[in-house]
Amino acid sequence: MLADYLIRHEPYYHPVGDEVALFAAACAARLPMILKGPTGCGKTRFLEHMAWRLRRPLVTIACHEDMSAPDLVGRWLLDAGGTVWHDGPLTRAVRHGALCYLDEVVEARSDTLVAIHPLTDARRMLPLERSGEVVPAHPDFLLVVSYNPGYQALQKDLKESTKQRFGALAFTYPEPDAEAAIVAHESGVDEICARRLVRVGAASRALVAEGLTEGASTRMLIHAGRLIAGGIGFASACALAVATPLTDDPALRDALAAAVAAQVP
Amino acid sequence: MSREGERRRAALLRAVWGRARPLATLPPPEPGGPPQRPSFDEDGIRLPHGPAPARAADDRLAEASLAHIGAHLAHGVGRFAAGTLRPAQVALVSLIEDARVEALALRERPGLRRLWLPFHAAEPGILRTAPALMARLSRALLDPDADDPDAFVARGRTLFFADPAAWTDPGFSRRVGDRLGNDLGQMRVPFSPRSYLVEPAYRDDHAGLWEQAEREAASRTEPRPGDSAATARAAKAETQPEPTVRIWRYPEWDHRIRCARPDWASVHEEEPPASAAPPVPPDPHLDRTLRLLRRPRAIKLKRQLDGDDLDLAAAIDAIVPLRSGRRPEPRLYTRIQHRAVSVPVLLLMDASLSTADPAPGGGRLIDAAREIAQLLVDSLRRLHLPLAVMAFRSAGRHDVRATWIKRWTDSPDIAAERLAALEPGGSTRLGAALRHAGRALPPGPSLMLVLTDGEPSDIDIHDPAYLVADAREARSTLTRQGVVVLGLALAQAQLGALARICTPARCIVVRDDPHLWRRITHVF
Repeated sequence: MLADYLIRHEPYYHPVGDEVALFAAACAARLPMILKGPTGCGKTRFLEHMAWRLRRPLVTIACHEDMSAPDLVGRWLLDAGGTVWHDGPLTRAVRHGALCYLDEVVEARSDTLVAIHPLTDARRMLPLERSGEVVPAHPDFLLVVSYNPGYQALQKDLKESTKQRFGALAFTYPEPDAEAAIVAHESGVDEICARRLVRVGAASRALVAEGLTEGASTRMLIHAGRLIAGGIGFASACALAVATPLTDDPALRDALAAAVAAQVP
Repeated sequence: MSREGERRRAALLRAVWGRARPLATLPPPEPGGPPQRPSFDEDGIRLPHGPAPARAADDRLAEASLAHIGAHLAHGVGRFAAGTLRPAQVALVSLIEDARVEALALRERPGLRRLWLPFHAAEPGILRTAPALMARLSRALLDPDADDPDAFVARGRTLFFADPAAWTDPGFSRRVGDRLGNDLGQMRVPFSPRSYLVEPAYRDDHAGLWEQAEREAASRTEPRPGDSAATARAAKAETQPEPTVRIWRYPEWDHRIRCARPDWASVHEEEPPASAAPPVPPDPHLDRTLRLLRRPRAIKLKRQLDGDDLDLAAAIDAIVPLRSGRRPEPRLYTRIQHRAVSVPVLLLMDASLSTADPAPGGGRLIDAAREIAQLLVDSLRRLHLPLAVMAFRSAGRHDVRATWIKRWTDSPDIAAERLAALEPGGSTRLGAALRHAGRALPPGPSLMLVLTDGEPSDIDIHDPAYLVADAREARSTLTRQGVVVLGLALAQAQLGALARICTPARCIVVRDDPHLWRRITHVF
């Protein structure tokens, strides 16, 4: 049923601690999980890797402000014969036993998220209010949500009643050595160049204290690395993939450019 | 230094070295005096006098200086004790230390060589003076391609590059510098410490490297880093802005004749002065509470092309064409749209003379009022909610003055300086102020907070009930327009009059109320 959602090849993931074992244990205990961490630090990749490792389909739902409960659980549609019920992605995952991943969960409104409450406590079921059906969760079903606590802390947060149903793993940018290994593997640049990119990343993260909203993610550094591997110069690649997307503030962009220039031999 | 330039340099130091130090500019040099060199010590970094250009390309010298000083900060080993060293040895130990921290910096930041090298202009020549030799040695230690035939420079290079692993040894510069200083002494090349100037220009004056220099630095009357912002603000406060001339006239309610006197009170707006503001510590619960001011409103949209539920009426209508084999109208769904409605907040502050009275919890009432205003400004800025702050005072019905601490469009930063400059004076003609503030509100629901120390009064009014009745009238007009007016009394004693104006349920004493903001949002 969810064969399309199975991950066939191992996604590359460089463990930074015991998160693989912890997540597998949480999964065995059917404990819903929160993955917290800054953008582009590897939350989604980690989950893809775990879905592959645990051989479960992965249903990903990108949350947004306009998402409503029917977008998650399903809705009635009209066809020639009358109305037909159409399962939403969450209901599909619940019925057939998948990892259901709500990406950037705080973007969804809290009144939408209460739909997951019966799934995340001892009941483990999904009542479909509109069709009157109650869907018991498949034993392999697990709910995983992610969010970035950094820039959303003031504006948005999970409801306490939602938060307390989950276990959580906190992700951060990897240590420089590990991050260099990841950048080198993912982008194809050599070790030395990857280390330089990681130093540019560190410079941008230091600039948060000077007003930058968020430092460069590992994903950004990989983008820069791919450009370099494709023959673009280091400074141009960093400008295109890191400095220019990060900020419009001329002071911060100049500072980033200086940090990049310092890495060009 | 311009604030933007200062910010740019701070960001540069942070990006290249991940460090922050207070930055300042040295005072202008005396005419004919020696050129300035940057300087650093525990207090911060001082760069030579001159404007900080807005573009990075014009600021290479400062960039090179900051990169060099950052190398000292990252790889430095603390201050050296000068002890019995001769001046030439001190200069050479400093030179080797400069080269050492730069060499270490280049290991992780090889691009800095391109930044520093253009400043090294020393060429091999016949002139064998100590400063010339030192400048050539500096260049030879940074530039791998430099080809200097001089024996002293060559020896310095050999000593320096003999063991790169020793660069991290804290005693390295001292050891190598001592030996080179001895060599220079034996060469009978005179060294004059008084005329010696560190070369090239981006390098610091070594005040941060030596223990004795510390005492000297302390006695200097240079501006401490961070002072420049304060002086700029003080200068700004001195310039007196031109008063605006526009006058607004408002009616006033006379409770004895039960009638409004038309065009009775005249309000004019004053330009607010600004001065340095003390920071107000943020209240951690404030944001959470004030967020309630942004209320989501649900609107049901019918007959939509897509949506969460079938629109029953549209579905029934569609069955007829379906059964008769025609295409039904595709707009079959309903959807609930949530729109967050931001409630604009206007804070009306009483700045009359009575706010100079001591507050129950210490300080003056006006200080308490300022603090509340600042908390509100900071918090609503973070929540992206619209806020305006107006202060008012009066001296008779012809002279009611309103001061915009923050207009809707003003930056919240301005508010802090203007609040700090707000001083008590005049009386409290509240009714006119309420009407004037009310006209600045956008149409639709809004919240007006009236922060006052108590009863309205004015020099030309002797009946205490008159201004209260007028203010109540002004308030009820606002209420009819959908404006919620909340009275915030600065002290318990003055609650009576305010309760008569705003009704007791909409009055709060702000002093010592830890749940103030929650109560404000609840009442609202």
